Amino acid sequence: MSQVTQMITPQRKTLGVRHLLSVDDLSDADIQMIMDSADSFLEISERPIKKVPALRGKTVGVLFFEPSTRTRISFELAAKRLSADVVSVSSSGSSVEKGESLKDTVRTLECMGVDALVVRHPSPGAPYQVTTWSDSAVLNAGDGAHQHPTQALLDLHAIRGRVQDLKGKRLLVVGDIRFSRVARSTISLLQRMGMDVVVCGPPTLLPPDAEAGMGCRVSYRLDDELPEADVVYLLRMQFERQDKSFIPTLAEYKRLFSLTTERQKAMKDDAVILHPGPMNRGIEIGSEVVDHPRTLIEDQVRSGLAVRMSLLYLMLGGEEHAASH
Amino acid sequence: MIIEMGEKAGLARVEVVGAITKSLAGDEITPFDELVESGAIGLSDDGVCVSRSDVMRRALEYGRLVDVPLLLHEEDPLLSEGGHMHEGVHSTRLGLQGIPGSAEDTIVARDISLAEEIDHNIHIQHVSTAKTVELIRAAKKRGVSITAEATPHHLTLSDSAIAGEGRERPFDTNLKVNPPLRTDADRLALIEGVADGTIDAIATDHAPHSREEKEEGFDKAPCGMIGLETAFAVINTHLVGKGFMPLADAIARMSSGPASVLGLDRGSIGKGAVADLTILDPESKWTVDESEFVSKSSNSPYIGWELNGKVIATIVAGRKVFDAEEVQA
Repeated sequence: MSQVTQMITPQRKTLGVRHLLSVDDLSDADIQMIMDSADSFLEISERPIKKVPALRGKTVGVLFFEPSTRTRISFELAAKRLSADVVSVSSSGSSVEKGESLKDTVRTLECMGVDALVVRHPSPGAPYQVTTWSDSAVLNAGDGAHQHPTQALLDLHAIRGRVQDLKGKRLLVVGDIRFSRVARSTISLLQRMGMDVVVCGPPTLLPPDAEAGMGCRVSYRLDDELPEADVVYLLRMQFERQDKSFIPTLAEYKRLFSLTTERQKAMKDDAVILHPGPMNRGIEIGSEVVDHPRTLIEDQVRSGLAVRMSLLYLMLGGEEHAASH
Repeated sequence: MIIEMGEKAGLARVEVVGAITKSLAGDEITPFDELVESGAIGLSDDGVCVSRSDVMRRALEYGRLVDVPLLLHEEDPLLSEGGHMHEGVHSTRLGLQGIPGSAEDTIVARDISLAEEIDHNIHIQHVSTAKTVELIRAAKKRGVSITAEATPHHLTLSDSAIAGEGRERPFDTNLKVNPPLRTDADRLALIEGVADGTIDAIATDHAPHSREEKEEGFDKAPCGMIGLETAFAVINTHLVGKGFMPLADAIARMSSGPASVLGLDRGSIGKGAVADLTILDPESKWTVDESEFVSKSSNSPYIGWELNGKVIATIVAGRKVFDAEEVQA
């Protein structure tokens, strides 16, 4: 009997939160529950038949007001693997493009009877507003530079597969942290796990008051930090912001912060590398480093699917099915 | 036209302020004398800053021609561009681009320097940072002709409220305002400035916005909050009630203070003075209810707050124009 069948019982636990808006809303028990159930869903994803009936009859609305490939597909596939119906709205080619407000789009889906809303929006805080307009469970799939909680949870899941006992280990986050929702959520979650965090990047791409605001040490020199890190987290260089000249030249950025093959050698033997994608090969990460066994980029994608299945399952409940399963 | 409409309605004194620069574009000064002759009691580009130093200097020079104050919105638009709240720990945690305090106080320092050099009086609108208070205090000590105002919201709220502290949820767009709510240390420095007279007036910077506008995302929603109906109660509860200043001083900052900034012969009670009066009950307790605003909009940051002090009636030129009991009935 697999762990999942054991798990799908009427007595199963549920999360302490109704919505997933920020990683900070989750209790330690919630995090543990999400990780455990993701382990089981990861196992299901390796079976020849990858679908379970856990959410049959439930509907998941996927609202993306910002371009995204991996997160949107990962959520849609997660819902489908659980046998939920999925309705997807993205900003292009929909009423959103015709100027419909977020509120009206949410209300429309609400009237059609969705059980969960997965929301990606460029405005920080937009998913909080959605909770005031809807009775569905709301999952934040990224709101501006604020939070991306499922990314943090999938990162934790991927790291757990390789690094035992995170307490006291060093996380080094490199690159554009100022505009990164990934950094904000992942740093906060991994600090909860007892990791010691250093953020490293050009001073203009680090958030103001990073030490007080995020509780991490700030460094401007990657070469000083690499040998001490257990987990190196590279962030995407966001070229769309380069009109503001946050860095003087790309060459200088690469010279200081690109994780090249050469630099990679300075890392501890058992240290791992993560990147949330999409990556710029040859800029923040050397092309050969991407394919190095210490790089967990593909584990992150697999964990992403498992964690999102786990969240939808835990948040939407599969009681009715559990009984007949 | 506005003055005529105001007189016709007869419900309040309506005064107008003329622009400092044409179309508020900040490039060319307006015909000050013509504006003042037409009834302007002050000159201001409020909403935007006169950001060119040469234009500001010229405005101060030309301003000698007329006897009205220059009311200044102090914000370096290049430093505040793209910002939605105070830059600090909370903007960092919330992922909102910040507006640094220096966007205000660098321009205040510039304008104090210019006003001192040209020897002309200036008034700093909606002061928000501790550094600005310090700059004004020091300038007053040197004898610079400078006055200043602060809003009830900058005196009672700080950027932590946007993070949800003490509120139902974070990202309440009713807290989005320009200048932004600053830190608690800034807020306390403002209170100190109001108490010691560095800040002459409390003014609401009342800015109504529709529900639809405020239902946008925090980064898209417009700046501004209403404040007229809550101003006295908020100040009475949180400045007087908490022992920062006596009631008489708070009332002065909301009556004679603004009148003297604008050079108006009002705001005080005396023989032969114009009977513009507000009747207050400082003890009356009430809870701010969204549905009870007389204002057409309800973008108030104080909804749900329990406050002490009510405006019972207002009298304009000897005639009662507002009666709280009538409004309730």
